Amino acid sequence: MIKIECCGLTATQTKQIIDKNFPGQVETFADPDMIAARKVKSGEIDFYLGSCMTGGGGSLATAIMVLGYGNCLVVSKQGNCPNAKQIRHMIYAGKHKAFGYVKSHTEQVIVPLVQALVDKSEGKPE
Amino acid sequence: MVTEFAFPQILRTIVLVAIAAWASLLSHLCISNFNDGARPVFPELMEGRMSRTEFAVVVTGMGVGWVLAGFSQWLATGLIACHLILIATDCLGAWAPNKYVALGLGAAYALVCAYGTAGINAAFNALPHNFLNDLTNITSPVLPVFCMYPAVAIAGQFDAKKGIIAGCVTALTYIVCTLIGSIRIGKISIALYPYTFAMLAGMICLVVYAVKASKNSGEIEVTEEEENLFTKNAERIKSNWLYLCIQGALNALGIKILAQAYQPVQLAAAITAGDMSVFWLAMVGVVIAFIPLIVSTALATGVYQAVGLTTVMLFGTMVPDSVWFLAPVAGFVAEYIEIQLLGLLGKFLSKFPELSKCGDHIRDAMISCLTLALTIGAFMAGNSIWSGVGFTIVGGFYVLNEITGQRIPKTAIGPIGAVAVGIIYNILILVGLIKIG
Repeated sequence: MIKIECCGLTATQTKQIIDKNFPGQVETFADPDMIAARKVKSGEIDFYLGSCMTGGGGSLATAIMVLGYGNCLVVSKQGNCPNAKQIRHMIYAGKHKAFGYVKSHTEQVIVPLVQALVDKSEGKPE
Repeated sequence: MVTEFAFPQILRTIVLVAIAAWASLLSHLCISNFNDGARPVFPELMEGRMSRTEFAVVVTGMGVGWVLAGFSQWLATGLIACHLILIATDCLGAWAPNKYVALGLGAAYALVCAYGTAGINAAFNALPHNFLNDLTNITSPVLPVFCMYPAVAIAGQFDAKKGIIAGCVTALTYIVCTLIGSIRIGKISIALYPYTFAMLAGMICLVVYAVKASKNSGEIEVTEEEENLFTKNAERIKSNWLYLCIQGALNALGIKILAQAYQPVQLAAAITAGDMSVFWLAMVGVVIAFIPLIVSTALATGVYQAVGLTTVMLFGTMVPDSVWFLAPVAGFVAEYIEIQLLGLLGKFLSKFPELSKCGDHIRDAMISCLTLALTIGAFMAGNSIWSGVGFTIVGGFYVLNEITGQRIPKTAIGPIGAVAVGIIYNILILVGLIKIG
């Protein structure tokens, strides 16, 4: 079972979507970002999700400073929301621990993103 | 929309050039930048994990949207926004190969902005129907809608019930102040500006709920390694104090003479309403909302924010008109004090992690309220240019942008639609299909 921290402006919504779609597969948390990022760094939690107005700014600021830029990925940007296949490819192509997205894209992004994280951790192919 | 400036164009241009050149230099030297989201990338360059080109590409990618937002803020307010200037100077400083190029690029960009916006203004005057006056409608709903932001922030962070209670308190205050109008104490009459007092009431609710919530949350355990990093970075920022205080002085002067505007929408609305106290109060909210994000990113990177904790903007506008030339002094001092307090603020924030969540929700609520106000204002402006048709065209812009994935930011689409109405109206006058008296 993977553990995910839900942060940013749509933290509550993100948590609800994951709990509804991945019961028993994913354990969700909604700590303040400074605590969440540190837990991911220490390995206590596996992944960090964050949303903001633009996808690349406030959503990942804390994650970038705690985990380093190389561990963070901007999934969706203002005016450019990738589809499920593209999201899956992004997840499989890198080894990121933190993911940022535009808050209004929360519904489109979360399910394919978390599905890819779950499948990847179970060793399923892309 | 602000169309009359107390200070001449040439003075405003010189100050804007100084602001932009300096900001570009400081971004190049990794001393300060404006985009809080891009700040955590600076150590990648400083510690050699990224080349300057890679770094510049990332910083530019994060900035482009904001520059566009700054341009639409200019369309709506007539004021040159920080987002138009300082996000661009982040990128210019990042690309510049050395300090002299950084200074030059910043200055050149400011000249383009100052004369470009003046040129567009001149073009407006040359039109058969100058719709600049109609566009002033864009900012007219701003203050009444914006004073609801504390209630929205409360609903976002806590729950709907608390948000509705705060919303009712805000609305009630607004109504009472509108009905009473002003109070008289002796011979002095004090005007009860409804939006100022309504916003204040909402902010008090917000503080009460936030204090209650922060009692239930734990502290962040800061490891020794992080503690050392934060101390080292606070020292780096302090050692750059002269660079930063000059930047603070320029920013304060810039906003006082309206060479550059921070929170231009609220500022323009306050100037139009003739009540600066509402802008000051809004700025108190802005300062509170940005402290967690700015302090934490600054302490983690050693790179400061180009407008500091934004207090220079507050104190700059508070300098009385008769002594406007003292604004740089206010900015210099405010920035110096901020820098000295940085380490303490960092410790305070790690004691109350809920506060940083609070900052996120306040910023989000402010943007939600502004977006709504600008959209309604754009509808009013469109309709004022061309009754009926204006609604159709602005509405079309809005819904089509929504359905095609919001390629243009929500805050910008309404004003752009209103400008389109004005352009179409003028074209039809030119071809003779519409006769104007």
